[in-house]
Amino acid sequence: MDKKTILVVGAGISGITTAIEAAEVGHEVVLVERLPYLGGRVAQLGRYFPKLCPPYCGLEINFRRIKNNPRVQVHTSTELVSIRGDRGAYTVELLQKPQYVNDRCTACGACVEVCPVTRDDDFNYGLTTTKAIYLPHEMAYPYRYAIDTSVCMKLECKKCVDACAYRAIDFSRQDQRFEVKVHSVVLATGWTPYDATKIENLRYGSYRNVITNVQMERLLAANGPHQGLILRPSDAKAPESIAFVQCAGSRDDNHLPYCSTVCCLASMKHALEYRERNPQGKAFIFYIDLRAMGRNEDVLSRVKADENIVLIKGKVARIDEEPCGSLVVEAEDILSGLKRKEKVGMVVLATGMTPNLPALDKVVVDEFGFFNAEAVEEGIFAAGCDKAPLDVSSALKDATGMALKAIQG
Amino acid sequence: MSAHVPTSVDPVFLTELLKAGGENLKKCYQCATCSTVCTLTPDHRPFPRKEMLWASWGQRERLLGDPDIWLCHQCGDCSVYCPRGADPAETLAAIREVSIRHYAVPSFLGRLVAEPRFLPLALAIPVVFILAVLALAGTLTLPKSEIVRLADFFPHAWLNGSFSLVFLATCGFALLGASRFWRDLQRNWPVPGTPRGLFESLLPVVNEIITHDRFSKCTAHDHRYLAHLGVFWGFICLLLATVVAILVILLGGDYPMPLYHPGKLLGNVGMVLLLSGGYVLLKERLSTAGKTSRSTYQDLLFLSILLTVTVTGGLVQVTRMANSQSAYYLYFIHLVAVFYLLMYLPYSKFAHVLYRTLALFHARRTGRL
Ligand SMILES: Cc1cc2nc3c(=O)[nH]c(=O)nc-3n(C[C@H](O)[C@H](O)[C@H](O)COP(=O)(O)OP(=O)(O)OC[C@H]3O[C@@H](n4cnc5c(N)ncnc54)[C@H](O)[C@@H]3O)c2cc1C
Ligand code: SF4
Ligand code: SF4
Repeated sequence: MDKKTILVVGAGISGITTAIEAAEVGHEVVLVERLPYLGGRVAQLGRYFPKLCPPYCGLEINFRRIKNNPRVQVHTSTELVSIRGDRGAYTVELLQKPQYVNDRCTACGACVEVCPVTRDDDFNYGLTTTKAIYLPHEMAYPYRYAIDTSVCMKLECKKCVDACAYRAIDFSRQDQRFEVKVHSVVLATGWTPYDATKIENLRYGSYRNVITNVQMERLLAANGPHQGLILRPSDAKAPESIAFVQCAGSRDDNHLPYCSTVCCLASMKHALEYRERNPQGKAFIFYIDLRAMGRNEDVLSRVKADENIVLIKGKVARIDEEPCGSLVVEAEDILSGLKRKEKVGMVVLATGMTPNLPALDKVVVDEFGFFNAEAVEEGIFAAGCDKAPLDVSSALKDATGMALKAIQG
Repeated sequence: MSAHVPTSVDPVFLTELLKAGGENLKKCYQCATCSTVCTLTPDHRPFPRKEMLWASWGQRERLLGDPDIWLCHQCGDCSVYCPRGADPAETLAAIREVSIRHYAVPSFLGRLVAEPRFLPLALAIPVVFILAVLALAGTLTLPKSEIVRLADFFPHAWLNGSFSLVFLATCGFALLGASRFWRDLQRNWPVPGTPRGLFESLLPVVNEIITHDRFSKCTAHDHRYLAHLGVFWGFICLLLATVVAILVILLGGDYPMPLYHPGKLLGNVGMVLLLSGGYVLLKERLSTAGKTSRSTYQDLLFLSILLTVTVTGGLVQVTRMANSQSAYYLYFIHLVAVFYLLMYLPYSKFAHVLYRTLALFHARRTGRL
């Protein structure tokens, strides 16, 4: 067999899948990830539809496959800078940010005690903070601390350097640029949640108890802000009811014109989990259309069977805050033709997914910024959410197919 | 009495709406954002989401007898937030326009003002009418006297007589249209239980009209309400000033009235109000070509005529005092424009005073507002 080298950009579930599939049939893979850890957005999910299991089992199996496979070369904190050449002979330039914390780190945490700088924890979507030196999350792979270079005072401070008994922190490390020659490139850079502050009438950012669906995932997670307890931000109390606002900025010409396909199911999952953990709680899902494709319809059936999950056809377009922090959401209940004002303890905005593709000449995008498969350059492919908003099982199928494309020719 | 729910579908109606400014209505996907962001809608069966649905189905009968299209002031809050660019505010305006045409008696006058190609004809009618009256009065030529006296050009008796006749005819036609509209309102939206009393219903309507209190709740185009208030009060002042003038003439008082005469003062205050309000409205109508509150031929024509009446009225006053012959020409244009307003009241955008008032009254009587 003709052995080829493939570059996979992005180590979310899609990129990991493409990398493993290609490596396990004997090809060399360079897997680059801009964050200090692997797993992408799936690592941040709290529960996983359709089975509503914790998402980490799936990821861990894949991490083990990567660890055991010498043909996968992983570069974290690394970004793709440029692609030159043609199919069969691309030269790609990569940029690795300084690896101030090296392999000697045992994750003992002595550094965190002394670090004087705090930052918003982007893993928890800003619901918590960490120090400038932090463990990305408890299950992080690779399992070592990272430094947020945008806030760290480095040599001016270097308290952590002195605190580390293993001499794992080294501020003399520099940016590293390097080139690799590859046969083909698979982009699997995934997605970013739509910026909910842009949807002014839904008041994200000004009312504390209006959160987004990705934040809700973190609240559900056992390694989340409250170890899986669903507590609202303003007073850390369990909300007596939650309203889910579907299509928050999706299918909207003023924001994202397309359907993000997963947020209906995500909200149904959230409602079911909330009800299970708060048997007295009541959930309201305000929707335009409830989209649950294929076998995911089972989730919808479970939602419908719960009389304390109320489905209301009509989009929430106004939210008011009460002094106690509770919120009044307002919509027209289309099926009855009456205005509905519901007072709830917390609001979850079902925001959509925006593509993350790097701005490079050879990467052609469509009108929404997703990879344009029609104008594809021979030898550069995209997997998973780079093509369209997808759930994990669809992303996996796509990523496997892209492994095949990448090793062909 | 239970509500009659018209189910008939009229595809021609849909085409009419698309032409009258509702060209994006088919994009609506019934999310109801519009009904929620609207600050003017009642909570019970709010608008405009349901109207958008009926419009795309072509439900003419249902929409024409729908008071809600008149509770809307086209602030455009809904169009700003509509996720599909379906322009609900413009669609409701289009429905109103088609509605005015629907109730027009005689119906050809409705078409005459609605279509730009008939504009020359629509303007020719007042011109010919005035010339004919002048001919009858024997004053078809410009007066030769040294001092400019408008009454020499158009004798008061002829002016008041002919214009009153036309106005009476207009009122008759307007009443016919209004009564048909009222009948449809009652059929589609009957009073649940006992209606509110006459005065109890009327007072809030009058209050709303003179203060524009509902209109003021618009947020997307918040200065529109002030501008409209200016136009409204300007118009009322001018109307009163005209009545005073007619009375002064009938009672043989000093005419033209001196500048400090209360009637004259009222007229000039009205002129300033109407001009400033009208200017803002027109400017906005011409500049918001993009996102919301698109304007139609009808909107622009009506505003232009109203402004012509006011501007020429003011200029006549100045040129007359300056003893300039041009006063006669300006006066002629002024009268043509006034005639246009009067004669086409039930067919032009002006008809909203009729239908909106009735719909508001109906809404109060049925407890909808
Ligand atoms: C609220 C919510 C709940 C969800 N719940 C579920 C669920 O329960 N079940 C389910 O099946 N799906 C769910 N999904 C969908 C799921 O999150 C996606 O299908 C999945 O994340 C797709 O993985 P991906 O690898 O394509 O993208 P990502 O997870 O986004 O991974 C992309 C990776 O690429 C990296 N990257 C980005 N740019 C660069 C670059 N320039 N250079 C290098 N690396 C880069 C990123 O850091 C990231 O690690 C949910 C989505 C949302 C919004
Ligand atoms: S999945 Fe549901 S909530 Fe998300 S954009 Fe599509 S319809 Fe809206
Ligand atoms: S007009 Fe726009 S806002 Fe109103 S229901 Fe239709 S799509 Fe939604």
